[in-house]
Amino acid sequence: MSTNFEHGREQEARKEFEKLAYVHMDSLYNTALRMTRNPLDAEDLVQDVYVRAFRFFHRFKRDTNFKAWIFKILTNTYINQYRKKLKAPLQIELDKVSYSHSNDSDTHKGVIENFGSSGYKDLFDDEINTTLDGLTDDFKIVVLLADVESFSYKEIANIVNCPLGTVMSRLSRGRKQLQNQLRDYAIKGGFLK
Amino acid sequence: MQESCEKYKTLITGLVDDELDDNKKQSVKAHLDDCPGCHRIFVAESNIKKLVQQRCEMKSAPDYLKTRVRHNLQRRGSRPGFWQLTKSMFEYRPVASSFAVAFVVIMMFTSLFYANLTDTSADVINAGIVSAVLNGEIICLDCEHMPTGLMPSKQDMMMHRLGIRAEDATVWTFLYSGVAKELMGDHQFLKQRISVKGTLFHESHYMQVKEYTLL
Repeated sequence: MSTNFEHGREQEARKEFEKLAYVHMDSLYNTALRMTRNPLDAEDLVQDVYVRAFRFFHRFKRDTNFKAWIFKILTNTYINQYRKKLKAPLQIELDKVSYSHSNDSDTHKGVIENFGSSGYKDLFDDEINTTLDGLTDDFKIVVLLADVESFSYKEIANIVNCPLGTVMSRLSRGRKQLQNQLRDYAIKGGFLK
Repeated sequence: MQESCEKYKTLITGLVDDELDDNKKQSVKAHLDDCPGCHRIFVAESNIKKLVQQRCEMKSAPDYLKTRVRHNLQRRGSRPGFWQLTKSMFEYRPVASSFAVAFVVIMMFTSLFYANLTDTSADVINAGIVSAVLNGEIICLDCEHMPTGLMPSKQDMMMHRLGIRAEDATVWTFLYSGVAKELMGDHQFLKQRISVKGTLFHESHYMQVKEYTLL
C-alpha cells in the first residue's frame, strides 16, 4: 500500500518535473553547445543536467523561477566537470582583458563610432558565432544568459553565484571583447576602416 | 570629465540592459547627454547586445537527445536514500524484513562467539590445533636452504617465510597475519631471541602469531 503511495507520489513529481523541465531543453542545449563547443559534449552535459535536476527536484522552491534554477545546475555542472578537461589558463586571459579594458577609451573610438553607424550588419553570421564562442568562459556565460536567454542581473548573479556588480562588469567587458573582435572582422571584410 | 567617465563605464552596461534604479538611470542619462564619447560607447554596446540577440545562431536539441533524456529519467527515477529504502522495505514486507535483520544480528553474534572459542574448543584440539607460547630464535626458512654466499634481493626477502626454532628444536613457520607482518619482510630480527604466543598447527607446523616479545 504505502509503496504504492510512494510510487504514486514519485510519479507525480516526475510529471511535474517533466512539465517544467522539457520546455527548456533547446535553450539548455544551445547554451551547453556554446560552452563546450562540441555537440557530443553538449549532449552529455544536457543529459547530466536533467539527471541532477531531477535528483534535486525536491529542493527546488516552487515559487521561484525554474528556468533560472536549471540553468544554475547547467552552469555548475559545466564549471565543475567539463571545464576541468580544458587546460586553458583562464587567469592569463582575464588579465589580458582587463589590461586592454583600461585603455580602450582611447584606442577604440573609431570602432565605436562605426559600430554606431551600423556597419556591423555586413558581418557574416559565422563570424559573429565564432567570436561569441571564442569569448573567455566567465564572460561568455554571462553574455549568453543576459542576451540570448534574457535573464535579469539578479537571476544571473544567482546562477553564476557572484555579486550583481560583478555580473554587470563581466557583461561590460565581455561585450567589449566581442566588439574588438568583430571590429577586426569588419576591417578585414573591408566595410570598416 | 575623464574621471567621471571612468565612473560611468560599467553603469552604461546597466543602462543598456535597463537594470538601473531610477536614480542611477537619471544620472547616467544626464552624463550621456553631456559626453559624446560615452554616448557612443552606449550606442555601440546596445548594438552589440542587439547583434547577439538577433544573430546568435540558435541550435535546438536533436530529437534523439530528447528521447534519451526522457528514457533515462523514466528508468532512473529519483534515487531514494538508504533510510528511505529501509523504511519502505519495512513498510512493504514487515515480517520478512524483521526476520532478515534478526538473522543478520544473530549471525554477527555467533561469529563473535566462535572467534573467541577457536583456541580451546574440543574440535580444534582434535585437529591438532592448540594455542601455545614458544620461546626460541627467529629464523628464515628460505635463507637456511640457500647456498651460502648468495645474498637474496630485498624483493625476495619480502617473500621469504620466517619462523621460530623453539627451545625443543622444533621449527614453526609463521602464517602471514597482521602481527606476523611486523616480523616478516625485513630480516632485521633474524637470530634474535623471541617469545611468541599463538596457535600451533601441528600437522603442517605452521604458527598463527597472536603476540610476540623480543627477549
